[in-house]
Amino acid sequence: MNSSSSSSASSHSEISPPPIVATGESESPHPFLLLPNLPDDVALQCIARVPHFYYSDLSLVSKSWNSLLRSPILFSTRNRLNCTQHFLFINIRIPGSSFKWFAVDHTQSNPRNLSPVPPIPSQAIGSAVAVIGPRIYVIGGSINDVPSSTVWIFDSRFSRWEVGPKMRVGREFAAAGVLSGKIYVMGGCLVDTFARSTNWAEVFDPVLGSWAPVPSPVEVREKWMHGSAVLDDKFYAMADRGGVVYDPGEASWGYVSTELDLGWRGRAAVVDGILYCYDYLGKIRGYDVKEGIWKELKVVQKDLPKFLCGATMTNIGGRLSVVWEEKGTGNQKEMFCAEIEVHKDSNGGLCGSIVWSQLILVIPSSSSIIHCLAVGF
Amino acid sequence: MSSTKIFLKSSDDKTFEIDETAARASETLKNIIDGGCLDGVIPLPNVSSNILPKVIEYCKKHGGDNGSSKKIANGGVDKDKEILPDYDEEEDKREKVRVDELKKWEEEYMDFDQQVLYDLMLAANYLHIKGLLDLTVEKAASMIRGRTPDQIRENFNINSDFTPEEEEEMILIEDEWDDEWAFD
Repeated sequence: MNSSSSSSASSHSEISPPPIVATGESESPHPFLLLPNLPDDVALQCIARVPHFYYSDLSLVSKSWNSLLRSPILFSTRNRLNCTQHFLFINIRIPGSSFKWFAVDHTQSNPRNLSPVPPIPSQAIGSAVAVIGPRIYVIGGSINDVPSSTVWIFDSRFSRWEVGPKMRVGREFAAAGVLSGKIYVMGGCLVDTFARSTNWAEVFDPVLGSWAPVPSPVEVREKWMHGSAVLDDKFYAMADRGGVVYDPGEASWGYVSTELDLGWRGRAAVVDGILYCYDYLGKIRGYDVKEGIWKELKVVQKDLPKFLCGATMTNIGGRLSVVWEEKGTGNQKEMFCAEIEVHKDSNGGLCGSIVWSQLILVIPSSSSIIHCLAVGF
Repeated sequence: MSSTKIFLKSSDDKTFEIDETAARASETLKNIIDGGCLDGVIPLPNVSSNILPKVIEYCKKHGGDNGSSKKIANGGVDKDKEILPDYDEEEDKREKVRVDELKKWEEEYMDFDQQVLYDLMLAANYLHIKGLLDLTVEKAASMIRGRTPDQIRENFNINSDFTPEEEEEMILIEDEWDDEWAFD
């Protein structure tokens, strides 16, 4: 990054000896050094490299640590050091309509621990999700069978849920995706009124903090969506029959090709311009838009089971992360996760090698994996 | 082409020799060299003779580039792939070997006690050697990451300034969280 190199170049005229170095503003409120025998600016760099995820433990170390963890200096340092790390967030639905959220630090060495994430005060059924920067948006869903327009926003840095701006219409099982820093949602609502018709597709601009309708032709307004993805700067929303493609740059609409429609099952993830999902045989396949064909992902190791049940996948820092279920003992099922490095071989085939794969959670057998998301912060 | 020799003087008045190309791994030294103020020996009042050879060893290994193996592994290989769809597999293999070799070197290089770690961090910070600073700071961060507050205090010799009451209150907030996690 240019910004970091220029900042280091400009700052080395002021080479001052340790020990007291003010971090940013001159009035440092810390009576003690963060790390004894180290100037605070170096200590800050050490602490900034620890993912935010561990901060609840770090805040117990000392008062100076506790106040550092709430200060913007820490976030700007993390940003400057390029320390943003990706976490895999998993949302599980447990019978009785309760939901749980977990986060996995995928960079940690074995075994990777799952950490609890505070639950949404009230999570609806059939919400759509989108991620922008450190924030997870949980969009709509139904509460007592009524589609809701509520949006919950989770800021991963502060581990906090807040209510976001409401959509213009209520939705359940809508499609959502992020393009150029804006969230597009479509479908998941009846189009029986003028308001619902004109707002069948909406866009949320986080800078303005508001939703706006996206004009759509009548014929594309399908009701329920089972999948969505952003591929090649276009938004793909898969309906029960067929699917639509929206290009926000051109403000144009089209239909998804039959080939793509027939092969698309469940939740898909895009890595390096290839759309991955699992087919009806439980294998992972990738769709190459340019060639218009599906190819099986050849995984070198044998760690993956032959059949992936209930698989959900996402792109985590350029790798394909797959979460699936297997039968456990008694009334339980086991949740596994694998991170796969994918690339094209010289013949254009899709190859994958497993970076890691392990059992991450045992859940009651009637529960299911709802969402799996990658969040960087 | 033989490189010009530079002489560095430690805080305790010992002189060490380093090639100019290696010295350029340090932004601070590079600026002094380019500034033309080179007057025989460069005094480094913040770096002792215990640590200076270790710093020089790093600079020698890294010469012109001042990245770490991590930077190469993350940035280099993947980007190339994106630009060239038919990337050269042989080249990729050679790159992997190079990165593996560098990682192994770093592992051996980084095998020292905490006092040396502190001194190296300070020296890398003072001399603006980004790769070395990244490497050492990362090692310190690994002594924080995933540790309990007690372990962190022990690792870094920190005295907790919380009163027992304050600490108890903070742990209570923590526990509420952990309860959320259980399946009932």
